[in-house]
Amino acid sequence: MKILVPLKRVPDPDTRIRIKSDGSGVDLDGVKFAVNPFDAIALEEALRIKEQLGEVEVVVATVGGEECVEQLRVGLAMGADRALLVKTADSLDWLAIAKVLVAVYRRENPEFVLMGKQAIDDDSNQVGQMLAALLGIGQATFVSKLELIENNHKARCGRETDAGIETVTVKLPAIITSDLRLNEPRYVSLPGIMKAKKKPLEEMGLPDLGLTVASRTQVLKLEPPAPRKAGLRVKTVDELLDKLKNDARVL
Amino acid sequence: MADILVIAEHDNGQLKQATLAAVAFAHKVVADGGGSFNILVIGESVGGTAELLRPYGASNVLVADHAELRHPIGDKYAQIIADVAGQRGATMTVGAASTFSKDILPRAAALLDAGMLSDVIDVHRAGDEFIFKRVMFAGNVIATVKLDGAVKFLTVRATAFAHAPKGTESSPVVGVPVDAGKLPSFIEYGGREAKETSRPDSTEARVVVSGGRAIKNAEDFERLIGGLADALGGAVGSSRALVDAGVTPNSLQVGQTGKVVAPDLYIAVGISGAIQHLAGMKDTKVIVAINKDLDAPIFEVADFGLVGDAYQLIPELVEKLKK
Amino acid sequence: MSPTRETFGNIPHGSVVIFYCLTVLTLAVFGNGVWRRVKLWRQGVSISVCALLAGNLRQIWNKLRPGVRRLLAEGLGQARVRGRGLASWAHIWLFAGFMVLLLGTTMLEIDHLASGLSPALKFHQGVYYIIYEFTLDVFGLLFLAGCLLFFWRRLRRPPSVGHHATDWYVLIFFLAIGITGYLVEGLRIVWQRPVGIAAECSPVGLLISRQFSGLTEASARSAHLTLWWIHAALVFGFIGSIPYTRLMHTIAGSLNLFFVRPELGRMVPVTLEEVEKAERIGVSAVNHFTQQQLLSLDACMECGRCEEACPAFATGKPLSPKKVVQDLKGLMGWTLTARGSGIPDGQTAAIPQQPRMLHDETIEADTLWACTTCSACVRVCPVRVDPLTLLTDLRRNRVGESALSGTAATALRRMQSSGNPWGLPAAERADWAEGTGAPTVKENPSFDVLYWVGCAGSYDRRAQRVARAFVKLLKHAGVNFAILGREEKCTGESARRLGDEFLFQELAQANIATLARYKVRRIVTHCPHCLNSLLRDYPQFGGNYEVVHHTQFLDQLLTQGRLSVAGAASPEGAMTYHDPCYLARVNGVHQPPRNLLTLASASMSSARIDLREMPRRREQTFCCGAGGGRMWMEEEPQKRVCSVRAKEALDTGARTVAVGCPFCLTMLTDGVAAQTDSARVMDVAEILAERLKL
Repeated sequence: MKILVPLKRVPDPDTRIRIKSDGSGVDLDGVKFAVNPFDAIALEEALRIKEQLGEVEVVVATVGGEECVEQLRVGLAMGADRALLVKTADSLDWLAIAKVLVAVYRRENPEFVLMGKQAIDDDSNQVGQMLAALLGIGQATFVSKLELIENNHKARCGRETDAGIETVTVKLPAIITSDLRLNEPRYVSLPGIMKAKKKPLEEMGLPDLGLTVASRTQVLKLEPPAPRKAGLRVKTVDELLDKLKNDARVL
Repeated sequence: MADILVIAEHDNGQLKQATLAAVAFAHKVVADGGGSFNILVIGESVGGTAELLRPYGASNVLVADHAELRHPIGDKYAQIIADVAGQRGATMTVGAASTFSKDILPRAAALLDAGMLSDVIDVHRAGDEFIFKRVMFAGNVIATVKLDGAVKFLTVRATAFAHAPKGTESSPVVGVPVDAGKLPSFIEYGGREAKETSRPDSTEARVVVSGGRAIKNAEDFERLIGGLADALGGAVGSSRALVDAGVTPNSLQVGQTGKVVAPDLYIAVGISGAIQHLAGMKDTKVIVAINKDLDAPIFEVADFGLVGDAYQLIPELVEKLKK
Repeated sequence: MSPTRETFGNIPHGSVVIFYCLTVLTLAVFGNGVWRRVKLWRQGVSISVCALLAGNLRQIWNKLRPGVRRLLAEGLGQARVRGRGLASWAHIWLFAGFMVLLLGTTMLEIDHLASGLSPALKFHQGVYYIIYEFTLDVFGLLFLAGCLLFFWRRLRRPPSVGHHATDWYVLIFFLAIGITGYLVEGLRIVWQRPVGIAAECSPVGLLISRQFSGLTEASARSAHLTLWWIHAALVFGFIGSIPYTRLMHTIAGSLNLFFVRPELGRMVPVTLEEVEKAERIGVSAVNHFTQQQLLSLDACMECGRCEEACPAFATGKPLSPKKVVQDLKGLMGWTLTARGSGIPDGQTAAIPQQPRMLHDETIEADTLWACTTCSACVRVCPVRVDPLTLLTDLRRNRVGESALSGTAATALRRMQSSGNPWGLPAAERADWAEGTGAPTVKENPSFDVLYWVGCAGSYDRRAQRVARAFVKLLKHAGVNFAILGREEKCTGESARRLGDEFLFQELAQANIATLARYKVRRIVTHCPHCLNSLLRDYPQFGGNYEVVHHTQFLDQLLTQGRLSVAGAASPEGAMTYHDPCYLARVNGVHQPPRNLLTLASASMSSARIDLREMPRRREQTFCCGAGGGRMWMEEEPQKRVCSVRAKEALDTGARTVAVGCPFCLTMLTDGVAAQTDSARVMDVAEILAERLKL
């Protein structure tokens, strides 16, 4: 069995995001990067299936620049068997990424895809679903419980919805996106990353996949939300409500 | 001229109020640059739901009603939406951001090779184009974006668009033919385990109300913390002290050994503010502290602090919120 | 005639020959048994014994001296056996008795051989004889008393003491040896008929001989010979069985006392090259331990002191240091059976097919992670077994193999990305100091001493108050100090104890570079974990500093009169002081904080200051539960280490619990608040600042 796990390089979740003064982008000075936590959860689930079933190949893949190799190595260190980097300098939006992943999928032909439901930088929650549509296969999103059934031809999933946990059974191959509650990913330290250097990591460009894709989304400006005021002691409930409604605008 | 398709959300026929925020979005776009919008309701025996949507100024309330559509299954619904949006030539398809719309709309968008923007909080016209604002980095960044392409899909944050008011006109209800044989069948619905409460999970809620040692027992917790959370449509959380005392289950614990939350508003009631707790909610946008002890460390991190007895202040707060 | 007796008196020549043959046989059995165990130890990583013997005599002696000292003081001197009441006495008496009897027998044999060479060399006579016989009689009683005490104790079966059937056998043997020894002596006196002092110098023997006074000389001799043989057989049996029973601890224990690295709070570094070469880090199989660690497993007597001292065990966690040692010992023994002796795996029914795994099978994950690294087990072990290092070696492997997840892993990730375990912005690290007037090293480059604040003092709102109080005291005393400010990073202490050695090294090297840049030599810190790391971990990477705890520093200031206490307010209510593990036990500092609380150094009358002591105090302190990365791991409400300690503190009747560590401050605040509203937990510096009205 082969499981494809696309992952994304994102700023470390604890980073205090600062925006450049001209609003043209995020200030990445001194920022550390990590594997998108949701993707790490997806990878963890794939690895647990591998530990359980034995003959499973877990392939991690990402789209981006050379710096993404760092995150692929983390994936390999966690236990993935192979890594793929689709190298591009372009900033691609979600539909474009999905199209690239279609090509990767066709190349790898996995039994299914496990990926994070969203990336913590753009919080879009689109790529998995789009990939499923482009491939014409099923999807199970925001999965917090995953079980392979019927001789690994189907996946019974618990999905975290607003109204409660919904159970669906999806035919494989399918795209499964992970929710926070699926598992707790294993921690990877330097020795693991060093060992991972021996595992195969392949790089290819968009032309190698026979693709030309372009982003349709254009970011014009970034700005912070309403600035936080310093701590204020209020004296009455009325004052508190007034501040929350009118100053902080959270009500 | 925009031709918008609003996807209504309902729970077994019960209309979700957030749909009206999506309708409000449509109103704004149309008011800005002309055009019209339709509302699409998908499900089984959803005539009643469609009726509720007639007074909002849509050109039509479209109803795709079929037994196969009883449950909001991603592949079937996405196909219907793509078909309807394609047939009608909708330039924008929009739903209020929810697990329902997030599951289905991106799939429908890709079926039509359309781009999509999630969690939109604002829109305005600039010449021929629409400029959108959306939320990124867990709400820490507002991005102003453009999306190319004749066809766009969007989810909008329900809190960013005040619910559309009812109008005087009544839109016609139009049935959409459903060819069940052509619907995909990758996904099989297996039931839903309803949550004990309708409260959201603290890790995903916009508002979290959290109780600490000041709350004496489970009944008081439900009444005060639960009551305040419900008044704000938020989730409940607790410090470890209450879990230890058996007042709350461990699943509610917020902290370095519990849940990590990042809501827009976090109200800490009777919580001292030790680092173990703060580590679980440090990325909150606005922190409110209510505590009897004016020396409590929580007041140093809170944006707004109110010193007093929770047992008196919370009921007052709830009452005034309800007004 | 000079008082004496004939060695081998009444023993026919043939018996003596057989005796010597049996001696050789016994030693062979003994030697073989010991060698089998030594083979097990040798599968471990070499400890370069040869290196000890390199260099000139002086150098060799310097290397050997500490080990020899320990052998003398702790082996012969039984220094570490004390502290357990009756059990300590039992062992000391048994051991003293045995050693004297052993020495006596050796002297006797030497005399026998010497007089065989020349009668003039015989020394077992006269005054020496009298003293000898008397001493042996007395010590023989001590030996028996020790045995009986142990018997009685084992009958009562205290829960922490390990028990096997062979233990009865050993004690019975000892008793039998002791009793038959006296019987032999008594019967010898019957047929030898010494008079006067020559008889009275063996009082016990004399007493026994009176019970047999009715025997004829012939029957006395016959009985003597029989009992002599029984006694000899028992002794041979005992010697031969040493390597096969708990008695192996005599050899392994002595060796361990010699070879062990005794410092507390110390961890062995590992380089990236070593890890690359071995393709692993830490221990995942028994032969990854060092030879000294493996022999220490055989030194363990299952006495259970470590288990009694362990805070994890006390709160129902699945961790018993004794069991860890014994389980690893079992695994060590198993590996030899399965691999050695030319028996291929799987060919004998008794040998299991699957190799027995160390992780999860022998030592469970829950056991590993329950340890707070408080070092109580290391401190109490009479033979210096170190269960703590065994566990941290295992942890290193688990982290290296990505077998750690959950909240502790999150803390590690945050340490790496933000330089503190809570993931708070590095840029905000010095915000606590705003308005305190604490200068950074940039603002005050000619500082005398660096105040190392640590992560808690920098980010934890409660602990920031301690930092501010300390700064007030420093300024009041006119100390020329500075803080690193934003450039300070987590020392990495808990990362190292959790097992992420390279994250620790990364943090340490960054800090060492920063400290070097500002030419820091003296450091004062209010966190014992930071202190221990700066003092013991950092020198391994080139960072050598003089590090003191803030209570030591303040105590010095008090003694020097730089902190004026005139007009100090007297504290209300009783106080108690909780000794932090890493300060009191690991680093031996426990008097200065007490001086500060009673203002003793300022020669103020401490009469009005009610400082109460907990039963477990100073080096015997009981952990607060936060060490070893446990601060970031969950505990069940009923099993909290901090609750146990909080209760102990509150039981003294104190209204203020004084602490000297930010971890203890957090844990005990929680623990105390869960039990009462009317007691407060404060750092010593806060109490002092409050007292001085700063």
